[in-house]
Amino acid sequence: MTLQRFIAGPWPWLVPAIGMLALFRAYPMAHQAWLSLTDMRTATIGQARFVGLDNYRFIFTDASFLGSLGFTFTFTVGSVALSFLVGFSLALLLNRPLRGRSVYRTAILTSWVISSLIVGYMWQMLLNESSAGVVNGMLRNLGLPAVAWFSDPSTARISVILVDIWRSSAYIMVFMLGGLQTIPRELVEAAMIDGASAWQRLRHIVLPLLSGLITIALIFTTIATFNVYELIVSLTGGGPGRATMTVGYQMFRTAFGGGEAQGLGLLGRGAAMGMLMFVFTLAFTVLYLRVGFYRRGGRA
Amino acid sequence: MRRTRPLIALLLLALATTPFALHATAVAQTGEQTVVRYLVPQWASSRDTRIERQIAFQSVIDSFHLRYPQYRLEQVVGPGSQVSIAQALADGDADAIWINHAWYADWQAAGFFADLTNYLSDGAEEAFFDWTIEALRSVDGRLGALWHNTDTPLYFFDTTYIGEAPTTWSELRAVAEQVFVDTGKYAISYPIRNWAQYNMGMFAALGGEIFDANGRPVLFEGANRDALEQIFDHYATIYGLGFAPASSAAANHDQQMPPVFAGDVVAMVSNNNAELRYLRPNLPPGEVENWSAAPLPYPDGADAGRFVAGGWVIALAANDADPAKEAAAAAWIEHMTDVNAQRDTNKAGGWVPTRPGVIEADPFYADDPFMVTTVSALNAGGWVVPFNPLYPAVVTSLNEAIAQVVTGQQTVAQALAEAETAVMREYEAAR
Repeated sequence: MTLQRFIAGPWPWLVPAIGMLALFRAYPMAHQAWLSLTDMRTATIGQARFVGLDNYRFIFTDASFLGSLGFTFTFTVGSVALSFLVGFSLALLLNRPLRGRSVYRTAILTSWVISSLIVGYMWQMLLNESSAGVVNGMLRNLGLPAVAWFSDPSTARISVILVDIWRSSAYIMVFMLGGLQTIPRELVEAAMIDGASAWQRLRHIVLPLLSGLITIALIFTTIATFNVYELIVSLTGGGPGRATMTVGYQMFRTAFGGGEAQGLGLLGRGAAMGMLMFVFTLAFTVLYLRVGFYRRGGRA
Repeated sequence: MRRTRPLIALLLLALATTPFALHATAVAQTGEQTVVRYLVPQWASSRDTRIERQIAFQSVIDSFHLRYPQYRLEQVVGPGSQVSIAQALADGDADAIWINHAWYADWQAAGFFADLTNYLSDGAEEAFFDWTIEALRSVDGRLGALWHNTDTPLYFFDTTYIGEAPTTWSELRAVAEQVFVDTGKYAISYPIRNWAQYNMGMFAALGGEIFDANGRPVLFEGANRDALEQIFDHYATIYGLGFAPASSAAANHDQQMPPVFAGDVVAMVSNNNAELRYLRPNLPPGEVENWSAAPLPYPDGADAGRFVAGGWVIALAANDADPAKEAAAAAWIEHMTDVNAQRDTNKAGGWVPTRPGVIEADPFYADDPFMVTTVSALNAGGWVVPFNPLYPAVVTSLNEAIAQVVTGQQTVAQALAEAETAVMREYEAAR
């Protein structure tokens, strides 16, 4: 390719974007991949030794990491599936002519707009197990027993999933509501005239038309849920014990310390955990895209 | 397009020349002065959001400039995270750094810090609590920092329900049982997520050793294991009998407070500034006055309690290329930890000074019962955690193990076995 053809082609226009991507995406990722192969600690920044796959070997034989990974998968599957169900149902509901619809939409959307950290602190207070706890107070007033929302390991796992559903379903709702409003009314009306039931309209018209959007919404929600950090920090700190520890929080704690564990500072191992998170996230994305692709009959 | 071109060119020119202009301004301001770059988190600087801290820290900077007109202090206010500080140290971007004492040993051993000994005035070291200097010198004999403030956990109790604070764990259990039976309230709350902070001192009080002379973890061996089991058994009993709220099993210092505010809990373990930080702002005045504090009750079998002394130190970055700058930074560190600076900044932060002279002379410390208790605990049994890179791993494992025990997920033996495996894996990995 001559210089003239190069200049006349699309490349000069792509150079700034490619340069930015290389600088802010590719380089940090490559650096992290390299970091994960070293024994770098905060005390030895600049003096790290190459240790090959030692960090990965350590992680995959570490019961605490495998426990976090297991909970993260449970958390992700439970939260994404239920968030989708709740969010999609809300979207269907709010897509109907309803009095005060915009008020409901705004109110529901608030849960997504608030920062995850604040959401965590807010639910910490609502689900507090003392007599100051709002939810337990309501249960007691109804003559029901109080619930150990965070002190019982099994309940704590359910609590964090519920809080995440409360937050993520609003995001799904907005996405789906946008999609529902693009479906031509004539299609639905024609199906109604032909005698299609509500379920048949949903199954054969709405869902196929929204499949692309659903795939994207699921990808985004899965990535956000799998990498969750702020919500866990503010809600349970990974406790009690390690019951609600997610990979994202464990990566942060390993690499940067935190609380009394300040000084842990194992940047190399933390980077290895980050690389694994990247691989899992990529796998989720590929899976969703492939499923979505085949559903649409091979047309991407 | 033609019209906007000159505008775009002007904008680009302005952007390109801004760094030069800023640099020129900085040079003009400093003149012949030696600039000390002081890396500090916002909450310990004159740029904190709290007015009392702004005033206290700025007054120390102003007095430094008056005392040393040849030096100029430049506060570099950062996030204060371990990684950002390590990066700044590695890049030589800071001359003096405010750091947590737990981070000091690694960086001192890595040679990031210079020795302050040669720079300090006569008698300067003697003015500090002995244990601060001993701990800082314990890494390699050199003094890479001075200790600015400290803290320690205390036992806080509502005198309406508890007349006299228990001194031993068996007394604590007796008091807890009595309060529980008489009133249905919890007579103790622990922030289990911060468990090691108030128990590793007690482990030391029982004669327990965390590491041997070579730095190998030995806390799970022989008599040390017996001491750990005794401590874990105590917590298993307290939680098993329902004397402490189950919710505290997942709580840190902040999160254990709502039951206290709600009146469900009448005694708790927390950091010494809990009265200032939690009780006074959140309880009605009448109720606050009922609260008192005592040193932490200690295990039966120990002669006295040992109390973990935390805090922050100011370190001197090594700067072989510019000894004059290193000297200026040393002057700042001595100034920032002198009598006046310690008095004013620690008062503003609610921390405890590391100079006994400040505590004895100032009514804020000498007359306040909570501060008096704090200082007496530190004087009688102040204990600094071992400066070993594996200590955070020990803390993490034990904090998780005790949570497993108090939530009934594991027995003491199971939890300790798991913690031992985790700690020894870290030890092997670090070798």
